[in-house]
Order: sequence, then C-alpha cells, then structure tokens
Amino acid sequence: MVYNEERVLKGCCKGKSTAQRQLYEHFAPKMLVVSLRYTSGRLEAEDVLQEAFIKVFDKIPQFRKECPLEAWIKRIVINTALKQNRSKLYLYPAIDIDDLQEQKASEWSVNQYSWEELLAMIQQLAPRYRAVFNLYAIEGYQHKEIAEMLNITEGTSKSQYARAKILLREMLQKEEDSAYGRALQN
Amino acid sequence: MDEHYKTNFESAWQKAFEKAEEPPADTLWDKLDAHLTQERESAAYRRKLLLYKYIAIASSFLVLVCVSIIFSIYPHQEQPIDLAQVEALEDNNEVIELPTTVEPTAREAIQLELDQENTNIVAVINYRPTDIRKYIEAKPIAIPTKNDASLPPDFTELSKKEAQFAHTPLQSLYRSHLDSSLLGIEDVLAQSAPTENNNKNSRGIQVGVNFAPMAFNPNFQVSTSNISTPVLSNQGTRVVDASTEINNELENNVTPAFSYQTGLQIGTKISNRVLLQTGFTYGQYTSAIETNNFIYTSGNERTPSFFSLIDENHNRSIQLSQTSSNFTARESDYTSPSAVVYNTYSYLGIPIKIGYQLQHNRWGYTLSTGISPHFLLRNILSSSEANISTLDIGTDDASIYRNVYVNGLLAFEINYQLLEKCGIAIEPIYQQALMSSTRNNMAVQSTPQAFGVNLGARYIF
Repeated sequence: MVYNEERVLKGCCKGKSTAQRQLYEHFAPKMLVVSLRYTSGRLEAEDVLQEAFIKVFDKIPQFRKECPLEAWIKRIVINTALKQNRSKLYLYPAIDIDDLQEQKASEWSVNQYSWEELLAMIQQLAPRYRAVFNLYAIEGYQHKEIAEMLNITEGTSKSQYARAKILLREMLQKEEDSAYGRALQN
Repeated sequence: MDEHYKTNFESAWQKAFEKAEEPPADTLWDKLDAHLTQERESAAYRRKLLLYKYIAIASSFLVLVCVSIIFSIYPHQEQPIDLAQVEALEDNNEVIELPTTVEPTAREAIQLELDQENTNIVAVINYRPTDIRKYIEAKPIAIPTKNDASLPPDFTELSKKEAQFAHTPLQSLYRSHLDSSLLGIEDVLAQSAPTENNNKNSRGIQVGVNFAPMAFNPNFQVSTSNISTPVLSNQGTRVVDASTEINNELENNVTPAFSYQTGLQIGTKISNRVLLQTGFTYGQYTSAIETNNFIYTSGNERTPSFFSLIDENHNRSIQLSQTSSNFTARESDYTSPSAVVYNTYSYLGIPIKIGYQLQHNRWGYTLSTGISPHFLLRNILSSSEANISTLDIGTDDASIYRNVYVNGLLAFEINYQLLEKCGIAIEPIYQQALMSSTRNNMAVQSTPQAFGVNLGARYIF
C-alpha cells in the first residue's frame, strides 16, 4: 500500500487502526535504531519504542506540521528513552572537563564501520555518556539544550561528552588492533 | 569545542546512522495494537458517557424550564376563602381579618371597602380574584331580571356578568360603594373567570405538535486536497489528482431533497407578550449530491470518491487495485456516468426559543429566536443506482460528525384559535448551525442550514 502521509495522519487523528499500523510500519524500523542507541539492549529498546508509539498516537492530533513528522516522532522516542533511563543517568558522577584530554577529531575516523558496529560501541557506554553522546554527536543538539533536557549543567554535558569520546576512541582503537591482528594472522 | 560547528567526527556518526533501520519484532505491533484497541474502547466509552452527560444536562434543563413554567403560572397554592368569615361580616357587622396567608400583590389584590349601612364598620379585605370568583360561585346564582326588587337601583345598567356579580350581598355593597380608585367589576371578572377573551392572554401551558417539510443544505467546506485515484493492477500505480473536482462536487453540486422535521413543543408566557418555548424535534434532513468521480472497487461496483472524505474506511477503497477486466486507464472509465447520491441525516433536537407575541382577536403572531442542540442519530448516503453501495455512518469513532452540534433558530408563528383551548399554527422556521457538525481537524467541515414551514396544532391547558 502506498504510504500517503497526509491520509495516514488524518486516519491517526481519528484513531483508525489501519492508519496507525501504516504509520508504525513506516517509522518503526528507523525509530528502533534511535531507541537502540539510547538503551543497552534490544528488549529495552523495544519497550521504549512501544511506549513512544503510544505517545505518538495519543498526541498526533496536536501535531501542527511545524517540523517533519519523522523529526517529531524521533523527538518523542528520544524523550521516552531519556525518561525511562532517567534514574540511571545520575548514577555516574560527572568528570571535570579539565581532566580529560581532548582528542582531535581528525585523528580518528568511523567511516569504515557499519552502523551496527558503532551501535554496539555506543551501547557499551554508561547511560549518561550514551545519552549526551547521542544527543550531541548524532542528534545535533547543543550542550545548552542537552543541559536543559537532562537537567544538568552545560559544563557537565561537555565533560560527559568528552569522556564518551575518549571511551569510544578506546573501543575504536581496540577494534582496529584486533582487526590488525586478524589481518596479520591471515 | 565550538558549539556551532560540528566536526567531521560528529558528521561521520550522523551519516553512519542516517539510513539505519532495524525491523522490530513482529509481536511488538500486536502488543501496541492491543494497547491501542483498549484505549479506543475506553475513549469510545468516555465519548458515550459525554453524550449521555449532554443529554442529561439538556433533559435537566428541559425539566427545569417546565417546572419554572408551572411555578410561574401557579406561584402560590390556592387559598380557599373562608366563607364563614365573609358571612360573619354580613351577619354580625364586625370587622374581620381575612386570611393573612393570601398575599396582596399590586396586580392581584382587590381592595374592597365595606361600609355597612348604620355601623360605619369598615373592613379591608385583601384577596385574589380567584378567591372572589370562588365566593361568587359558592353562592346560589339566579339570573336576575329587571323586575327583581332586591337588586341595586342601577341594576338595569349592568351587564349579565355584572349582574351575577352584583347579585350577592357582598358584591352589592361593593357595587354601591365602589371607589373610583378600585378595580372595576369587569376587571375583577376578567381576572377571576376563564372567559373566552382571556384565553388569548392566558399564562397557561401551551402544548403543540408540529410537522415541517424542509429544505436542507449541509453546506460542506472541503479543506483537503489530496485524493488519489485509482490504482491499476496491470499498469502500476496511476495517481490522478481529482481533489479539485471532488471538492467542487461537495461544495457546489448539492441540492436540497425532501426533508422533514416533526416534534412536540411546550411553552408559556413569562410576561404579557414574551413566550418561552422548548420541546423536542426529530428530523430527517436530505440533500442530493451529483457526482461523476468514482472508485471501481470490483466488477461493476463503484464508490463515489467523496465517500473517502466522509468516511475514513473508504480511504482505503481509493487504493484498491482494479480487477475489472474491461477497466482501462482511460479517465472516462472512472468519471462517468454521473450519479446522484442522497445524503440523509437523522437528528434529535431540543429547541429552546424565546418569542414576542402579539394577539388580535383569535389571531396570534409570534416572532421567536433561540438555539437547538442537535444530537446525531445517523447519516446515510445512498443512491438509486444498484452498483453504488449504501454508506451508513453512526455516532462511533469512525464518524467524522460530532455527536451534538448547536443550531441557531429564527421563526415566525401565526396561529389561529379555533376553539376555546385549541388552535392551529403555521410557522416558517430557519435553522443555521452555529458550529461545524463535523469534528475538528476533519477534511470536511459542515455548517448546515435548513428552512421549513411548521404546520401544527396548539392546545392551551
């Protein structure tokens, strides 16, 4: 069936099951990846996704088309994931940004990795680092916005991000080393 | 790091996840659907509850109006006059106090000054015309003749009614000592007796039944512009933007068909010329829509494309593959021939009107205005063509219509009093929706207009 956003939106506004299913089938695969980035496993990610779509269908009559529908749904998924992990976000103390050695971004590249490999690395991060990293690096939020979203200071957001980058770099390095080892064996 | 400049690092991560997709487990939709179904059911229940609440409020209001009407007509319990006390005045020449429970109001009280012949006893009695009438009726009334010696000297100048009044001792006194500032006998009788004349000014309950042939226009306004038709199975998807044409059909190809409204009304005067009316109406309002845009669902069967705007379930029919063997991509195959679809609404209304009434002999003229909440019962779209199936829309979640919307009313009634308590009436009436009869955010908005002529009978209690 051809996906017609206008019609699907209208149907969802009226609570039509067929329209809801169409919307779900169109966006769920993309949104599951978003959810996976903010959670530590598939089970948790699907829980978040289900919760998020319930909110989407509940709030869709209020959608005013001020932004693309995908961005609106993504924002709901992210907020749901953050809310679900809110308690975990505060388990990890903030590290002073001065303690961290900022790496030059040009020094390391992720182009050779698939999104699945990168996702696995993100999921290994502690929830708070993961949240800040996702919001800043992938979603494109500014630290000020992240600070408001997570109810932390801007400095904390920056330090968490820097820490996340270091951890990811270590993982990438490890990955490169093992790949190099595998190449030598071959 | 510069907040406004994302490095290649961030861009690389963004790019990596840009197209990333992972299908969720099949069971996830089932779980979600189960939850949504439950939500829908509870929403439908809440909506029904809301409808019942509206009906309860409207009914309470109706009862309140009826009770107010009754109390405005009978503000006090009847106070029977104590005839013994009145007779004591005559027998013992004493000043008496008549029942103090009878409130003397400016309009209803009658003041009688009684001055017995030799005693200079004056009694001021206050009581209502109905009491006087009871007193008169309690006495044996003989129709007096001109030769009756017991009558006052000026009896011959009295009318028959006055004579009846004057025949009793109390009223004889009243007649002979009538003060110019007091009410005249005619006034007393007019207020106390339900004569033919005072029917027209009666404050009794007026009940009527009406039937009105009507002309109805749903007055559609279509905001959507996204109808695609049709899909061809053997030639891939063909998308035709027929929206302009379909919008035009709903907005301009609508003509009134036979409609009617019938109901019961109840009313009373809240002052000498102001009438308050309420009741209920049941109406079937029909309009004809000429269309030449169809979706051929299977074989020879076709569905008017505008159904998709009125019924969400028909959105899908637009997408159905054409299986008819003789179907081709030519536009004429799905745009002709034209057909007429009858769009019929059934509504229950509770009109509340206030009117200004003028009386002239047996004729009455009432200009009234008010509102009428209309409760949707059903919307049926049908055609005499056998290959167009009927669409029946109720009040459930699938309906684009509100369960209730409000009409403004304007009416002018002319009635004629045939008998003492019965009359007939003719009343041109105009109804205009004060809000859309469809829910918010629907592609189609409708502010119905209707004009009709009520033909009715009236009875005054």
